[in-house]
Amino acid sequence: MRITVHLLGQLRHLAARDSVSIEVGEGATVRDVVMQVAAGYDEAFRAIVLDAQGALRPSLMVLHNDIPIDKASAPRLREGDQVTLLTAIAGG
Amino acid sequence: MIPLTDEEKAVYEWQLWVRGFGEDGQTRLKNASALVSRVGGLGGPVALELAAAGIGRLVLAHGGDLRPSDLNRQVLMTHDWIGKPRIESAVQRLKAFNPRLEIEALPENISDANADALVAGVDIVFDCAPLFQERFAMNRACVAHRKPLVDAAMFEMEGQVTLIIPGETPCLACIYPESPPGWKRQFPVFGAVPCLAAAIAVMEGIKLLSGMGPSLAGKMLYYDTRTMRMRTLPLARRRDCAVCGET
Repeated sequence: MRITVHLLGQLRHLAARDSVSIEVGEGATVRDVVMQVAAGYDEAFRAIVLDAQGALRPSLMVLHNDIPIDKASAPRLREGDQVTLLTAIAGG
Repeated sequence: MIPLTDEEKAVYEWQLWVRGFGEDGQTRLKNASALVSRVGGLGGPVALELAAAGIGRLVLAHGGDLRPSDLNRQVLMTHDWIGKPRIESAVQRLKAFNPRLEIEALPENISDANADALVAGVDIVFDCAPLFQERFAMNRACVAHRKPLVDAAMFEMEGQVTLIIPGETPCLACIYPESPPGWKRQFPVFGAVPCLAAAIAVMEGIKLLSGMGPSLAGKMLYYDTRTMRMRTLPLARRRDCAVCGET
């Protein structure tokens, strides 16, 4: 199934694009999608998304169809779902 | 509370017409105080709009001297002030705009060493600092002193604002338990992007201080000027939050 992942904050800047569309298997979770997207980018991108143990970083906000999710809940996705990755920002 | 003078009624006449605000709201604003952390691209327009609206007292904290690269966004600065303390330019501009305004200005940034004393002395805090350690220091002080914190931030063409009411809403450490890796003090920015966050932050503060009621308590307004899309996102408290949690 095809999922669109929107990138905001530093991730959009590092990826130099607004979103990516990826193909994942049935039963994929939000975390699976984030891992797949992160694998396509460099260490700076991955470090913002994942910690050293490969878990989603606490400073990363993840939206599933525009609703923030508890990253521990690992909701399963459906065809056409939108995932948004929003990084912590502090520009003043 | 100190009542409005005839001069103040004349200056604020147009906003006294705002439904739910009126002379009562203006009087509350006159008797209120706010801490603004840094007066750069974001904190500058926050301080300016608070001054315009008629807040009684501002406490401003910002260290360092003005650089040429500040002048694409720091609207309280002037070109002739390059090389001189930013805070002095900010005070001059604000006093010229609103001579009734009482200003306490510190030529230093917020830190764990000064946050408690500064936060304790005001009614509300506007967090406009470019570094997470400054933001976290203000958050800890606001939670400790039960002071509302308007947290505004931006990056490139995006911005966000939330209102933190200690004991009621998530605090900043609930939203971001850690500094994200790779965050730097210098970041891509057009001046209009932090101005938008500043305007939203100030309106949230004015509504809270004047009794009109806030809108962004426990919610984050996130805007993207690249797509001109705005989202209002619900936020959740963390029971295990190191700052405001139960454990």
